[in-house]
Amino acid sequence: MTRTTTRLIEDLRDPANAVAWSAFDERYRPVLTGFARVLGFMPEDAEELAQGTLAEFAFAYRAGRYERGRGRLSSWLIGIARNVGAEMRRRRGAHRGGGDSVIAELPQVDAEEAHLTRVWAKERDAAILVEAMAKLRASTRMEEHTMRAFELVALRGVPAEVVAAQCGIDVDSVYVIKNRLTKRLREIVRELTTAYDEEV
Amino acid sequence: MDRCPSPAELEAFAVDDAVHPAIAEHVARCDQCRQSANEIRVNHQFIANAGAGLAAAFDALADWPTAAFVHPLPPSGTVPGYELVAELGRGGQGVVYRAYHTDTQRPAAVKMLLAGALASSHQSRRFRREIEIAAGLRHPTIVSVFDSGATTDGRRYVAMEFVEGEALDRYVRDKLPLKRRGTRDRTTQIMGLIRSVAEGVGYAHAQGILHRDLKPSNILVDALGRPRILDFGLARTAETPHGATITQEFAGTPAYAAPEQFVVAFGPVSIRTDVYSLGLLLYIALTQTHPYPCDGPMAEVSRHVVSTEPVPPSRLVPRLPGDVETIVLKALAKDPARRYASAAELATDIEDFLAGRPISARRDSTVYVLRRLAMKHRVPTLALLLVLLAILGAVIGLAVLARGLDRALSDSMVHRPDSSAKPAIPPGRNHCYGRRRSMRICRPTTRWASGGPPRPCGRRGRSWSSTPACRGCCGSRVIHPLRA
Repeated sequence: MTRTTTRLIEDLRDPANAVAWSAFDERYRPVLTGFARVLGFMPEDAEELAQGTLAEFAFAYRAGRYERGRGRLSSWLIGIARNVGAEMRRRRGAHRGGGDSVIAELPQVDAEEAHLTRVWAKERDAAILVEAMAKLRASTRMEEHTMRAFELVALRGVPAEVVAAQCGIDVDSVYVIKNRLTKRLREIVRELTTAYDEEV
Repeated sequence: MDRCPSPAELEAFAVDDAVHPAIAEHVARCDQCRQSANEIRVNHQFIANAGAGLAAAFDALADWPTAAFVHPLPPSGTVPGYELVAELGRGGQGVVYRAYHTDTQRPAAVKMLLAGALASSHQSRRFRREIEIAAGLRHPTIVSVFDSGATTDGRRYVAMEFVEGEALDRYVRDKLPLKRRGTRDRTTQIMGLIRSVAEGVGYAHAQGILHRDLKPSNILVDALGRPRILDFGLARTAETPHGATITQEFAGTPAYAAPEQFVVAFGPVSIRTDVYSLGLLLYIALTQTHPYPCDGPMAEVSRHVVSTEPVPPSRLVPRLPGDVETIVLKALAKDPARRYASAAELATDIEDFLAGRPISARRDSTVYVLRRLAMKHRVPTLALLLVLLAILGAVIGLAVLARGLDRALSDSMVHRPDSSAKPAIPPGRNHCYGRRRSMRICRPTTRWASGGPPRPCGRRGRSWSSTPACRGCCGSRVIHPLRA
């Protein structure tokens, strides 16, 4: 059962709860990395920003600086990411002082709040889809041709007749697989979305 | 419509019900079908909303090969006599399908050029040559060719034996994973696999064929653990002058290429080039890593292949037998002349190792290793030599100076007549000892007082403490431990 974000935040109160911190990291690192990529960070810089943000969050949370009543977790993380991005820019700028053109200039994380929130939500949805797909794959691990047929017909737009030939099944089975797995995927996505949502 | 529509019919209806009045009429009466149709519509909407995100999420799944399966199969009958059933793989120039012979139902792998009739004459020539070469080889380790011809749309195709198996690297990763504590059994199995491959390559060499592109993905291991060599696409006959492909374009896969495939100075591509690739296969199978960084640009990869010495596999595989390391490093020698002369020779050495017999390969001598190091690091070596020469010069100079001083001091002391005091004789002289508690024999000194050289008495003395002086045994006036 996927833990809700609210429950996760409660569990984080115990600094020694490695499972909770690990789950938090797993949930938000991809979102932060994707968030930074959309804002124009290169892959390595995006990972650095995600790492910096999570580290800063852990430090601030343990110091008791996060109050749930004052806003959503996502807003707080966006704020931290903004500060970490600014700090990275400042440090990188200092390095570039010597005219080192190899170090790329970092983009600014200073877009308006609404835009950042939209980007965050989109990345969160993408992370949910990845997690959902992994869960779906895990639940159909013993039936590789089933997963393959689903991929081809539902995700790649390959005609059902071609999929049937490639997977060695009949066309009706292709449609049955498509609808069975899509339904299961919808359920997983719904469950994860509920879990990711914060009960402020 | 009395019966419930099939899943395919219901799908067509749910997506566009206007063109299926009979099904629409049935669905209106059948609760189950209505529910299914609604479900299909919701699914359809979900997929449409998620858009490319779903495919991207799927692509993020590890170990899921997807790209090769998005291309539709050619129409039935394209390859005369064969029914294509699935795409097995796709490369830059060719595509391979799983197929069945329509008459015999024998499974086969059918390979054809991607560009088909529009393929360049160079590609066509190379493909034709591959077919000719592969068709001429009959060996249990080499995939056999059934037949070849032209497809209905003008492509040249070749039908080969279908091998149900895994690529060598995947097989080793799944079936023979590297554990923290290396095991003799794993090493033995891997050596056995590579021996079989080397035998197959040795057979091809005996037929005058070089493979030139041996890499893990070109070795399939079947369900019984037998390796099979695929893809003679870059093969050429050994007697062909290495002009066409070698000078016009790089032939092979950079990460698996031998030094001579990059730098002409190493000599021509030869049988030993395949030996190098076999050594690489062995190294990668044993260590599950590449001996050099190989994911950078081609210039970077070639630099490593040409000049970086591989990390000894024993550092990566605990308890790896020394003979295995010797075999691997000999096959991977940069200089082709230092490798095994043929794949068959490598196979024999592996066989000897497996049978517990002495192998023929020997480790590089220390002198050779030092010479290679010196060649590789010329400037530091030169600097080190200069420093050593300077130190040697200084030592010699100081020794000469000390000897001069010593001589002058000695002369000044010995030439003093009738000296009753204990002379200051430099320590270490044969005749004039320092205070050592040892048995000594009186011998002539190199310096003597006026009146001719002292005569050695040759008597054995006691320790210095009990023999205060030499009294006349050799005419010397110096104190020494010999009793007269």
